Amino acid sequence: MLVLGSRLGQWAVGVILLIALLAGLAAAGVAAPIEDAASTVFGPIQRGLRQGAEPVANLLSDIDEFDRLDDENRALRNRIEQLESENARLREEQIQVRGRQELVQVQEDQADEIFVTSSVITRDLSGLRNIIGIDRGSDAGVVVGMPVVAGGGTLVGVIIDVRGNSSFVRLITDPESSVRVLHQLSRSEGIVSGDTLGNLNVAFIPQATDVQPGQLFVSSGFGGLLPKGIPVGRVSSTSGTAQDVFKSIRLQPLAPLNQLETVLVQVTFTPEPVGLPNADAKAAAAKEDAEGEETAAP
Amino acid sequence: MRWPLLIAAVLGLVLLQTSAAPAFSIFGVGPNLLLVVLCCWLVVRGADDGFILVPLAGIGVGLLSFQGMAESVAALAPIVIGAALWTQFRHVHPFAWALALVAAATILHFLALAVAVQLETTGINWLEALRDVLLPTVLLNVILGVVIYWLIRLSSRRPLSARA
Repeated sequence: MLVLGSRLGQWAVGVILLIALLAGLAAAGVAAPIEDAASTVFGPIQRGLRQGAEPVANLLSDIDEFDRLDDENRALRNRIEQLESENARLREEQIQVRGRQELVQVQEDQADEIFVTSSVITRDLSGLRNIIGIDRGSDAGVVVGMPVVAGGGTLVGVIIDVRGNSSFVRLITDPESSVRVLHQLSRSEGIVSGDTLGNLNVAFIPQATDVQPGQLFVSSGFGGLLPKGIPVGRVSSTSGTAQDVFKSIRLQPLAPLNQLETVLVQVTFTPEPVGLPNADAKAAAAKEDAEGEETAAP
Repeated sequence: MRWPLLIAAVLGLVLLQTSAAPAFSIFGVGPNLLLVVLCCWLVVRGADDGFILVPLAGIGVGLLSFQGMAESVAALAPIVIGAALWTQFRHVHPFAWALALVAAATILHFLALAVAVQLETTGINWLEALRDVLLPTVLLNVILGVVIYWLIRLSSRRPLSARA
């Protein structure tokens, strides 16, 4: 039978107390300034290490994905992403001009949007979440909820946590991510979410909608959480039977999410969730109506 | 002079782990260099070093990544216990123990973080997570452990096994 030394036992108790203390500090918000200071001091070093390791990491990545080496080299992917993004925007413009004249104003407003360039300094270490850390935070005007796009203008994710000089971005492929999207051709609305494997799945597209591989999905802007028209992904496969209410659609993200080095944070967009009128307001209105009717009654 | 060097080395490893290491993705996952080095070091040099280095590494990872400090310390703490247990099983070759410790510590590390994710989010798909994250990570870390163990073993003038 193993007998743990008393020093080890004391240490284990000490570590449990330390874990409880750290959890308490985090819950009380006391840890945030320490994390801010740490990211300020070590953020540039992390960025330098990551950029230094990038060439070797890319080489390993290419070896790991040898079968896709021919058509997935870095330059071509960037170029394709830019072209797809441009194509998506042109289609969006076309649809907007055809549809409603007032949306032209929205498009013009896009020119005034301000983007903050930021380097990727860390990634989620657990492998269970698709979250990246970037080197811009509240000091650069970044707030929670702002959209983050890749160099080509395609959607990367949304800011979920902000520190002084750094922030964390939930990628669209994260299992917790949920983005309202439009099928660009049919204008059917769906919801894109990620999974543990880093796939992008679209839900709530009616079975009757004609969706073909290669077609684009863009952010719908519904709900006020993201700007409208940001390219999200291209259909890689569809499945389902005529009996299913909704199609099962899988997307290939347009942004190179596994090879992100620099991203843009759209700091001029502040998410404003559009909620349904709350129950209390509805009840008060109904009560007022009832009282009004009673007063008016003879 | 030994402790400042060790602490600086752990800090360097924490920086590498939170910046460059995730970029080296093989089998779809990144290696946990910090965990592998700590496991091999503690088996070769003795678990006592881990009393300070492991909590320090956990706090460092918590400060510089999206993980909380508490969950990072909790995820790494079993390494010390695993390394200390070897003193009760001296008949097992330290190399085999180190690799077994790397595998076990990787699994416990994963479970600790997975539980934290499960509590913080709407939940994870455990089957996919075990198949697509844990298994490749264990394999990758053990392969890395083979190299790291011998690097540490050959650079140690007085490994623990020699003192036994």
